[in-house]
Amino acid sequence: MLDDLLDNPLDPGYRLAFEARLARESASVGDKPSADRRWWDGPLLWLACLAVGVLLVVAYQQQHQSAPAREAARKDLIDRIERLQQTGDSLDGRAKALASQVAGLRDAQLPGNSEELKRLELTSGALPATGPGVRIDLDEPPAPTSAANGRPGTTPQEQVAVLHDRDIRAVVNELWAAGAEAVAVNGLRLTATSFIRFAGESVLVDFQPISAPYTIEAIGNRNALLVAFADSSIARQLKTMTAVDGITFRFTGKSGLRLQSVTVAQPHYAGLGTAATSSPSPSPSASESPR
Amino acid sequence: MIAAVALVIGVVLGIVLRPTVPLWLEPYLPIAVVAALDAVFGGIRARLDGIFVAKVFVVSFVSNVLVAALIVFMGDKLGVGGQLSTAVVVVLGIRIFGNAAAIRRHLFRA
Repeated sequence: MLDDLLDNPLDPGYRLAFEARLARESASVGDKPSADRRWWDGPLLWLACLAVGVLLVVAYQQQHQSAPAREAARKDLIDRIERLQQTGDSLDGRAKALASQVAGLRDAQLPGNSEELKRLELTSGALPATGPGVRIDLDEPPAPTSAANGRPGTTPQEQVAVLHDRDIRAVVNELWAAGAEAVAVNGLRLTATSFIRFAGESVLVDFQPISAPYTIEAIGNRNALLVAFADSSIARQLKTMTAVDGITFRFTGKSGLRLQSVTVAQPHYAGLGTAATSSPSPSPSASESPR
Repeated sequence: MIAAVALVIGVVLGIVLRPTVPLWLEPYLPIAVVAALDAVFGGIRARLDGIFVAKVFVVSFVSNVLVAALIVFMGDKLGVGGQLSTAVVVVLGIRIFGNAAAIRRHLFRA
């Protein structure tokens, strides 16, 4: 079939019609000089050529008109996303300011059990945490140069995106288990209901996409954290990945870390009630903190 | 000759009238153009071979465009629209090249 396609690009209809005409003309010589040359052939051909011309122009114009329109729509969407993100950021900042104001007023009004409350707020992530701790740097292997591996962009995804959500999750869980009091990934403070998951190609922490290099900071007893983490299986696994896949993996003790506070989500409790008013039970967090 | 004149008039008409293509028709336009080009090159080659028949040209033009659009439509419905468009473009492209080579042999004897 492919041979036929390559050898005979011309529609076989032409040959057939021509032979049919030859046969008819030889059969009826002189009667009608061109029996199958009907009156509509001329206008039809004319119309077909007209249609071809219009088609060419329309297709050209369509391509050139729709391209800017598509670009404009894309830009508009990006603008809207950025605007909404800014709105979200400013609202978040306002919520934090109001929360600190509330905390200040509460401390002034109820001087009693503020120590206990401070401690709980610190562990839940409602207060910024400062203190000694460890910092763990993870980074994807450097992108291979074009000389090493053919054309750029031909490297499989598994070789340039080695680190997954589970690696970061394992590190975080290890830090919690080692007694960390506060943990943040790329500056995002983790709370009891935080999760670390994978969506597409990016890691999501509390629905915020983060990308390499990943920085995981934990506040706690520095020596205990370092020893426990260095001894853990995830540290060994990451060391192996350093050798095999070429990822960057460092962990160092730090004396003065500061982790941002977050607006802690109000937990929903499952309760008895009618179907209409029952609130959903808290979903289990992906980063199973030991608290 | 009249064909060339008609082609030019068609181009001018398209520029002057600026017809807007409905959105649902838009994906079929490139394929239709390629199919039309195939019919045109086939017609020119048949003309040079001396076996041109207007009816065959018109029918092949209309059916080429319709079948190409139908294939893409079915591909879209089946979820393989991109691949089927590629297939149509490849097949028609081979034919266009073959016909263009034949035309070149006729015109330049080379």
